[in-house]
Amino acid sequence: MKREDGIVLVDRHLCIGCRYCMMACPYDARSFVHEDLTDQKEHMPRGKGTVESCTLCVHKVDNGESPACVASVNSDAVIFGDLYDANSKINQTLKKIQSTQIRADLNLNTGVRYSGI
Amino acid sequence: MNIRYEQTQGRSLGFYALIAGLGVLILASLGAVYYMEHHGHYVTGMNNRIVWGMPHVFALFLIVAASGALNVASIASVFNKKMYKPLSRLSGLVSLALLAGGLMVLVLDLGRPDRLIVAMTEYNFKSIFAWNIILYNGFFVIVAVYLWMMFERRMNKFTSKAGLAAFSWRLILTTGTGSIFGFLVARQAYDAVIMAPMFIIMSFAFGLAFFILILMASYKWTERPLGDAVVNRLGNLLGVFVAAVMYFVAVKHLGNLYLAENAGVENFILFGDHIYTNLFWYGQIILGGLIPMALIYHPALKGNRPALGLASYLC
Repeated sequence: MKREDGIVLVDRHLCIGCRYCMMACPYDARSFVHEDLTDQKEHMPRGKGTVESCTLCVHKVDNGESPACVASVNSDAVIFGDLYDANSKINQTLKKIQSTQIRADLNLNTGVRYSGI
Repeated sequence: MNIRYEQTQGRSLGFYALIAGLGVLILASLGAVYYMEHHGHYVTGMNNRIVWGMPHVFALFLIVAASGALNVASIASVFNKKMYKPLSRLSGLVSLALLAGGLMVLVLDLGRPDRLIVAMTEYNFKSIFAWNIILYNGFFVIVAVYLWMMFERRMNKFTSKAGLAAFSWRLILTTGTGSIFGFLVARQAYDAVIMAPMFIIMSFAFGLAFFILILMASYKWTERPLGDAVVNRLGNLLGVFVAAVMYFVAVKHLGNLYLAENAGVENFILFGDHIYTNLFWYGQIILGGLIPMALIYHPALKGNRPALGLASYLC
């Protein structure tokens, strides 16, 4: 399920746990929930027997905050923002430094860019 | 040619013992499913790298064998070889049973088998995996109709048309199953278009092997005579199929080796120092290829049924 802003989420009501998406993912970005779940977070319930992946902390993003990993590094090692907004920090930074996508040969136009790898 | 069918009486001790044995097997499998659902899927040996574990190996094996088990019926109906006509009903039945078994394993290995209906209502037409849902269900319907044409005397005249439909569908089905793996760009060990035709030829071999085993067992247990001509011909056919599988396996690996990007994964499978390399050479090539061919073609074993049985089992 791709949101307007480009963030991709797993629809936990649709996922039947066939794991085809895990087989197809060139980034090993997805994982399967094996164990019983307790203390579920209200903003992001998980589901045993379904597949999940990084949500880019949409619950924070929707409140105007940064994803947890960005907030915790406390430097410009990880930058989050709108790639297509000419005034955003990420857009400005990508103009200045050289960056690449992993498996760029697959032409997936991923939203994650790396520099210095 | 008139063929006379006779009902076997399912009243012997052996019959009940067989039913009971199969019942125990089904209970054990249900127990295994419960254990897996309870403890989590990791008990099947799967993890985030090996996403489809042992249950998938068995499921795929049964599904591929299912389409191949239809061979004998196809030879009779599509290619009009009368000799196999009496066996074609059994062939259709074995095929449906294998597919039902394979799909059962596949479905129970889902993370949420209770949501199976979602897979049929929320459809993603861009997914090869989703096409296969239609292919499997279609196969059930077409083979069921085919069986009906064969069993119902008034419908016999449509048998060859239904047989042709079933034969075409099974080729498409196995192409679909093979394509699931053939287009996994992210998985180098699979990503090769040759997977689709390789699955077809594997289905010919696995399915025929299953059929030969069931044919010989059921004739023996019901004490009916089974002519050498049929068995030896099926055996020869199996040998050809096994050889063809070996050819495809060789082409796949040599083809991959030629592409430098796959050198790593091919070295891992072919020349590694771990169980997967041993499984490939000793399991797939020697036990699953060379020994069955030797059992079938060695002059000393010509027409030897236990040898053919063992060969079929090893396939």
